[in-house]
Amino acid sequence: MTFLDIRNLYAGIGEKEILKGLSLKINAGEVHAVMGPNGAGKSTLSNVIAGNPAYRVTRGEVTFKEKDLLAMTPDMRANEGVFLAFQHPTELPGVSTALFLKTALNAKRKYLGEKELDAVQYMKRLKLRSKALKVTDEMLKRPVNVGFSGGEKKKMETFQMAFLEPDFCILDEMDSGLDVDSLKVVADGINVLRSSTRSFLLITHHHLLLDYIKPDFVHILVDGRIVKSGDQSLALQVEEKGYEEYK
Amino acid sequence: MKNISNICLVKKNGVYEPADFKTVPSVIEVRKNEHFECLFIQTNESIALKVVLKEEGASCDLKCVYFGAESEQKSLIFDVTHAAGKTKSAQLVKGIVADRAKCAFYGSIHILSDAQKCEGTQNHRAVLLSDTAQIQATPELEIFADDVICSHGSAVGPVDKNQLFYLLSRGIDEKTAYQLLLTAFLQDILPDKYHFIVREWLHDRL
Repeated sequence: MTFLDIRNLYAGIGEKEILKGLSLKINAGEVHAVMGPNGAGKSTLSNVIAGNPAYRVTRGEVTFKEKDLLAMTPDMRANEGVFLAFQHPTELPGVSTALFLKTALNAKRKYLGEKELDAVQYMKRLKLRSKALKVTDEMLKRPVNVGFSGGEKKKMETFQMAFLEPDFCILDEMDSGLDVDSLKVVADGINVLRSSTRSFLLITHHHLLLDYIKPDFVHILVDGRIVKSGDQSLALQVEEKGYEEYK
Repeated sequence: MKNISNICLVKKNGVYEPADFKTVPSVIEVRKNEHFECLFIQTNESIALKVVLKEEGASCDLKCVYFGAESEQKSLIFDVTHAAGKTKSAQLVKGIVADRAKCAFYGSIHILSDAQKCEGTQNHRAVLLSDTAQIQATPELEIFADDVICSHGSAVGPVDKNQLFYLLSRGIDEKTAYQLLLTAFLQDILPDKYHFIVREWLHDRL
């Protein structure tokens, strides 16, 4: 089944056009990596898919499971199964992590016509996922992302993803600001979620993350377009030669 | 908000107790070493409260959360006079204003000439939910003594777009997202028991 289908997408911020005719197709169960130099449009791509209203789509089509993604509000997209792990997770002072997670989970269940989880089921699910990602009870008591280190924020993003069980996960620069140990914890957390019914879009500018999470496809994004696609060997070529030859 | 009238709470022995605004004199005099603390939840009519710290060691804590919507126009006046030395006052005011409403906050601190070693603070924060909502904050400090500590601050702005998008991106609908953010904004002033007011007030908005 085709999950994400992007056709000839043009998008940007304000008057500035950043994506210039990008096309990308991701099927169920696939892991795709998009690599590119700074300013190529990697974060724009993830924000446009998630529906950040700061970004403007000028042309092109994006469907998710054959539904028009661009016509949906960000919360609808999330409840349809799209999850964005942010490059810079936002702090929410005064909003407890536990309340935030519960609200998000129940929003999705309501959207899908399922019953809300009761307190016991909720705690069970929370414990299961938090342990694997080394998210402590103390972190869950704090306001969302407030006072978290860079590594803790990334773990929390991965934890939210594991907890909400989306079908399609976008990881925007998941490796930035992570030391090798934290990267391993986060990568393990992502790898256990891999399945034939879930896809991933990894956005990164170097191949280190891809040593831990093996992608099925690698795409090179330069100046708003995908200029080359291949398998993991493409990531290694970039590591050796840089992006110069694609510019 | 038409169906909820202003709520006035006065703290007694550490607990907020409802007080009928009409029976509370709009001028409160605080005596030696006494403390007066109140919280207004202003949903409709204007409020004016004058507090005089009459004798040494008197103190007051005045708080208000105001809501403005539709074409409402209202004001909040807090007027504190330090009439004796070693008195202390704090004003904390937070507002949420939507639609075409206009809200005004006038906060005064007067320190009389022989009221030395006083401390007066005033803090106002407000969120605008529309481009047409208006807030006017007017602090007035009138200080005739020279050995005092006095400060005031005011900040008004919209809801943080990044925070809102973060919540939406997790599947939380816009109304619930606003409710979470605005409740968080009021967390240091509004007791849990009154969080329902934020929810009910938002119900008719957005």
